[in-house]
Amino acid sequence: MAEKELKIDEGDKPLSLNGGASKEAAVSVLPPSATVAKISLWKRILDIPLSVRLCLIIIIIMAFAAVFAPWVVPYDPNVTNIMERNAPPSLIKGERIGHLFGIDQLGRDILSRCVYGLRVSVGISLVCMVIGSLVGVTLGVISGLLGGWVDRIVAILVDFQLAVPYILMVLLGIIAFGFGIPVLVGLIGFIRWKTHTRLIRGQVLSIRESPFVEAARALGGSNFQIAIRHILPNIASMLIVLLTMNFPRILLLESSLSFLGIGVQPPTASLGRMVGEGRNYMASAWWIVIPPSGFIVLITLCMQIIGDWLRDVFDVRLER
Amino acid sequence: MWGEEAISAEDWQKMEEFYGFDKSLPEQYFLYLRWLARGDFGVSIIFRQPVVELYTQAFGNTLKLAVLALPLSVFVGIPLGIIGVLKRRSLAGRLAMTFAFIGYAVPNFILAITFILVFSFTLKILPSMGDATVWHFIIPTIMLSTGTTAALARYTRSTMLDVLSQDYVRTARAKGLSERIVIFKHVLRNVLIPVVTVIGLQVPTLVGGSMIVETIFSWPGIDRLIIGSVLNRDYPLLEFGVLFIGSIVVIVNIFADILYVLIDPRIQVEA
Repeated sequence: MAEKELKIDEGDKPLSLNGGASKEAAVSVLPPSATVAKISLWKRILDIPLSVRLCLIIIIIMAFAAVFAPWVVPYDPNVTNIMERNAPPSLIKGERIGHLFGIDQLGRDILSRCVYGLRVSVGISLVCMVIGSLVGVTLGVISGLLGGWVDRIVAILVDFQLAVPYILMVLLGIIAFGFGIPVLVGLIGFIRWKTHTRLIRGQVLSIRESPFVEAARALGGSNFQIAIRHILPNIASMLIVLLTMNFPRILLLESSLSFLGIGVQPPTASLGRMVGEGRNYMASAWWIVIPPSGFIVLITLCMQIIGDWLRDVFDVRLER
Repeated sequence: MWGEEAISAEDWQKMEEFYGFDKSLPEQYFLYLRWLARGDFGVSIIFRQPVVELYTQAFGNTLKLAVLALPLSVFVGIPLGIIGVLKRRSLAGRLAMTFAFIGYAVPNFILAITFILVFSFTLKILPSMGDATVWHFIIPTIMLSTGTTAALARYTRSTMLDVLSQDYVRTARAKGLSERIVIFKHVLRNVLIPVVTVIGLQVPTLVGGSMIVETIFSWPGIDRLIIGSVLNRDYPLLEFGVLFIGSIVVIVNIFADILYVLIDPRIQVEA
């Protein structure tokens, strides 16, 4: 009997994460009200505003292009053609064929490099995001659930991260471990977790006191079981929002580093690197910097808009 | 290898000894600590100059930008956030928040490049690099402050929305106070308290941002030294840079904490 009630709680909990009133309703009221809450949430999710739809479409197209880059791009991104270097985009001449976005300082097709760069930048950011959230969520859940000295140690780590600028830590890591994509991924991944930890710890602290966790504890549930079966489902919506919001920040960090010349190393195309290299030719060939910048802006703006929308839909509070 | 011809084995050994590269890593670390304790921060491998000298020369330039950029973001960012809440339904509020959104989501190296393309290369009204005249400061300062401005605007907005929903604001309105007094005496005071701490936390962002700005505008500041030290593997130079920026961040945070106590009477420092 007790187990059954527990299940009901679990089922509708994620829907009423933050609203104080609905939280009480979820604890005390029977399944029918839960279904009502569920419907309204799905309605909110499916009722997508136009701007968000547009962003989703752009992101899907970009993801498709990045995944299928070798089949999508018109030219090999690393083949140089010295005779044609700095050639302007054929698009401004009104042509639909040829080098649509122009040719860069070494005679490489810019559109093809952008797509490959997108692939590298997005790939790196995704892996960093996964590492960062694994570390962040684990630490947040552990420190929130266990409290005591574990909590204090995690708090010290978070404070340390707050005090030292990201870029500085990455620089130290790069000079210690050398240049290269794996090092970069590891560094950014292991550095960007403090927001996750702080927010999730706060969430866990409030969930920890709720009746269904108490019930699970009374039934002899271990900390691990509680974390997996009760805490995680209840922080799921916050996690989705956090991941979406964090992705553009990571992409920006990666492209800033590549822009400075300490991220992805040549000849691998990366969006930030392309902007950094094209910067020197801006006065004569603006088309070298504009397309990769455009890709970066498009992807970060879209992800940010989607993130803001998800935050409102799930009603997750991220500030403090 | 060209190195063997250019430098004799004896000199090579001397150099290694000088920088302590002949010892094991833990030994090097303790050696470094011992040098630190003596106030000896090492000599740059590339510049062959004591790192302290290099940083003191460059720090003024970085400081100039930061001193201009931080107040700019405070005096633009906080009002933007306030307008974003008070004029929520009008064009001004929307514009304010759109600006904050773009400043937050678009990386500043892309903004900087756009500015250079527009104002330096197309309109030819502002110089694109160097620090010779007042005009040279305009784009770099704006670029350095955008990120902070946007972050402050967003944060002010969300804090203000919070404060507006508090009971004491309702009470103030119920007392019949004019909206002006409610906003200025009751709301803004409570908004500013958390915002001040956030300004302190923005200093790391400013440091990261100025690496980009100094690189783009060939600004001879400490962040360019740091980037150069990474590209050239100039370890002593980077070590001191990290120490230096770390200290700045800690000091600024202490000041932010003190300021926090001063402006919020609810916080009492235990003796």
